[in-house]
Amino acid sequence: MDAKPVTFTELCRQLDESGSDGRKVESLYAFFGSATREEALWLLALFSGYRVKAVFSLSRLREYAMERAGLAPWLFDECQAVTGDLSETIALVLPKPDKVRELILPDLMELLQAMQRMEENERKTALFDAWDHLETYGRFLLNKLLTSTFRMTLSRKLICQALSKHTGLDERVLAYRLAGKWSPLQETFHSLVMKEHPSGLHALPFPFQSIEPLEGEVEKLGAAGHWTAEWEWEGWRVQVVKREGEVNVWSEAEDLITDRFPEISDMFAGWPDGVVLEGVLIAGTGDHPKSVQHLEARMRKKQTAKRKPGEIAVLVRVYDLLEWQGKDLREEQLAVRRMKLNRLLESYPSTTILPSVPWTFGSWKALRQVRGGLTPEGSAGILLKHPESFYGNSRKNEGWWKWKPDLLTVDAVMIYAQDGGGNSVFSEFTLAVWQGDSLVPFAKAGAALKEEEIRQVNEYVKMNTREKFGPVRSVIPALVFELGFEGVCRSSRHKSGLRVLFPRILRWRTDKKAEEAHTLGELLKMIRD
Amino acid sequence: MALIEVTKKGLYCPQADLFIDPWRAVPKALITHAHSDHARSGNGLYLAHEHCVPILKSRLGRIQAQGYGYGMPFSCNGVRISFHPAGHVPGSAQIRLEWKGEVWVVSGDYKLEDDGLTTPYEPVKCHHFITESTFALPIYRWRPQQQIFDEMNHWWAMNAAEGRTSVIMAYSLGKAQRILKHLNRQIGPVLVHPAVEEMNSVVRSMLPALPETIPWQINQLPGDHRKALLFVPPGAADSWLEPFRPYSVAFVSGWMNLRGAGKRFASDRGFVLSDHADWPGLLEAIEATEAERIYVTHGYTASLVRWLKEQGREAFPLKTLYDGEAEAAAGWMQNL
Repeated sequence: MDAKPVTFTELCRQLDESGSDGRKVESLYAFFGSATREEALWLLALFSGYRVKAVFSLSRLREYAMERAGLAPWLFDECQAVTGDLSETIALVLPKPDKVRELILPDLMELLQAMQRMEENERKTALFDAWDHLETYGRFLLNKLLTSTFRMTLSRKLICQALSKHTGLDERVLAYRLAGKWSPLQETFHSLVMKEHPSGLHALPFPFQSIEPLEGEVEKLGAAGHWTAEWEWEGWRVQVVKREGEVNVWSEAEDLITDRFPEISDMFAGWPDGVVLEGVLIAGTGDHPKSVQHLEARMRKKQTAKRKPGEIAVLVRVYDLLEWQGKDLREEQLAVRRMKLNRLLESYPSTTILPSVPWTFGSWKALRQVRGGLTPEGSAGILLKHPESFYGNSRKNEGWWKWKPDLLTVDAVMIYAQDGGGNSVFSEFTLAVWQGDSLVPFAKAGAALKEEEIRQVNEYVKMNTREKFGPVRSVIPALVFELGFEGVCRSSRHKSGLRVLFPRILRWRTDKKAEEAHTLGELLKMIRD
Repeated sequence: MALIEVTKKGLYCPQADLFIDPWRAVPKALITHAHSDHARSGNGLYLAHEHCVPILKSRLGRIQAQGYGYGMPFSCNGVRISFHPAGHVPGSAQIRLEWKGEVWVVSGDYKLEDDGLTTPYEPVKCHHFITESTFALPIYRWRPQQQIFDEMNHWWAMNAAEGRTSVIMAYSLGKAQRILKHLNRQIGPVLVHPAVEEMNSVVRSMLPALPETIPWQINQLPGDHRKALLFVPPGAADSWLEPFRPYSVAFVSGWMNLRGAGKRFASDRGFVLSDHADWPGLLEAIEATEAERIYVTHGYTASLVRWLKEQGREAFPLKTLYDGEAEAAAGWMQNL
């Protein structure tokens, strides 16, 4: 069975309908397979946020649509009240097309540019002609582009996955080539995507060394004297690559994030070429680190040349040097890499590039005391590294280990249950603690329960539902669960005034009644300022 | 006194002492078709088209029912009554009532396109026409069904090629049989949920054109189920579908005409196919009756009434408790 070629219209329809990332990548890959290079270039531009200037205002387009469809304003408005979208309403009410033409991106873009320059009468004729030759979904897309309200997009990661499958090029090279400012009017598909100079290879990070969670007792790592400890900072692990006069920043997921944090480029502007550093990107300042949420918020926003007032500052805590003077240091021992790193940091002092200082310890017992004592703000545990280890390809027991703090726990009452999406098993629960006579929700978590317990809890939810909101049900509060988490911090965005870190339900306290659950006051005491 | 009035129990013809599609139990009820918002249980006697009767019995159990052919009039206290094809689902009818030269037609639900299985809609001239308005807005305009079936068969073939079972959610009376009739059976086996198969066997006994289907029992997977197309009614439990993973779900309804509707119904694919008349269909049907007065029920009632009035017609809203295709949607939503 041959797949139909995936046209621009078909691609957008499929992206609109499908929920899964995998299907989206498949659709995009199929589009690249049947599109010309020019079409592919325009699609990359549109999906990366390229905006076409509006040819018509929304009200003008509405006026023309009513005229073409012969509808009274009240009837048109009733239609729009049902669809909720002007472009869609217009697409649906216009008379059926005579001869359907395919919407070809480069032609369409040319038409839009030509329409910008036309007299109003001519422009209207061109509009009616386009409407008369498109199917509903094609008209919808046209209307969006005509009014500069086209917002269909995909993450760069997914675009690069599909493009990599199509071109055979490294996803990260593609991410580099598509990042930054470029115009489809000045590039060709070849110059943008396939070009060999600059190849983009100079921008690539090294594969990130894995960090394993430490299971069981720490003593299994052998003699304490062979190890060094470092705080694990709450933030994103990044590699900063400076080569050929350019700074590129990569997240652990190999997402190129330079354009979301342009200040990092400035921070390293004075550094020499041929440097690759690894560290943690942290929101806030060295004295006042903030939660990862702020980084996530920055990621969602479009790139800005300058930091806006109110936008949160970032810093990098650096802990490893993987390349220096263009030489790959990964086969050097960690101790040597650290020494070189320290010299570098001394030569380029900065308040936003800070070292993450490792320390040695006499015994596991001593380290346990440090871990259980006052930990610095913004730390989320301890990392253990062997000073003789290489980067990446470690020998057994010489890897990087993450030693999480012991879990904090509270007993809390379940007040909402949510099914896991697509099936009717309730697996996500919202938990609450007491504040006087009322229950205040403070955490949503999944539960690692036994099969029989899952069945019983589900039964309870079904029989004791108060209200349904989509997949969520509010239930009569009676079941108590023990919730484990790695820390508590203040949060003005939450009703409870706090946020627990990495919460998970540890067990069902069948021995406890709702009244016996903990209070908000007790939870607030766990915050360490 | 009007020949038909709206009472608490439903549309009522006082002269014949008969109710039409009543929503409360009455002694004698004329029934346009067997969907549950039009044919409720508890009536003393059901008068319906002859193909509707076995469906009513299958749905409602033991009932007293009398069947009539299309265009075969009978009298009731001087009122001449006859059933005429409505083209909605098998056994569906418009009901014509005539008393002293005045003709009323209750259309029930109807569509104008010949679906290849149901007896096609025929316009009936009358003075008073009671019409539905489920899709009475200009945004609802159906494409010819063959185009939809071509797309559906293509979707099925693509799924089969990629090793995914195809699942179609469709109303078990009408929509399911209409689709079954037009599937390309070369692609793979067609399995149906027991609730759908029950309806199929009743419809097949009257309309042999309906192809054979395999009733499917839970925990029984045919060897080539990856190539299979599975019919389930809206609201079928997920446990039915679990053994078929991976699968792709399509919802088939007129509501799929709107963007994003598929997501609201948690389906991967929407096909726009309805057993109700679209906007041009409603206008064409109303025109063809040459009726002096038009009464509009269930749907975008106010819009259609206003539009008709602007065209110089005498039109009135009529409040009833029918809910058109909303029922199918609601059933599925509850299960989310």
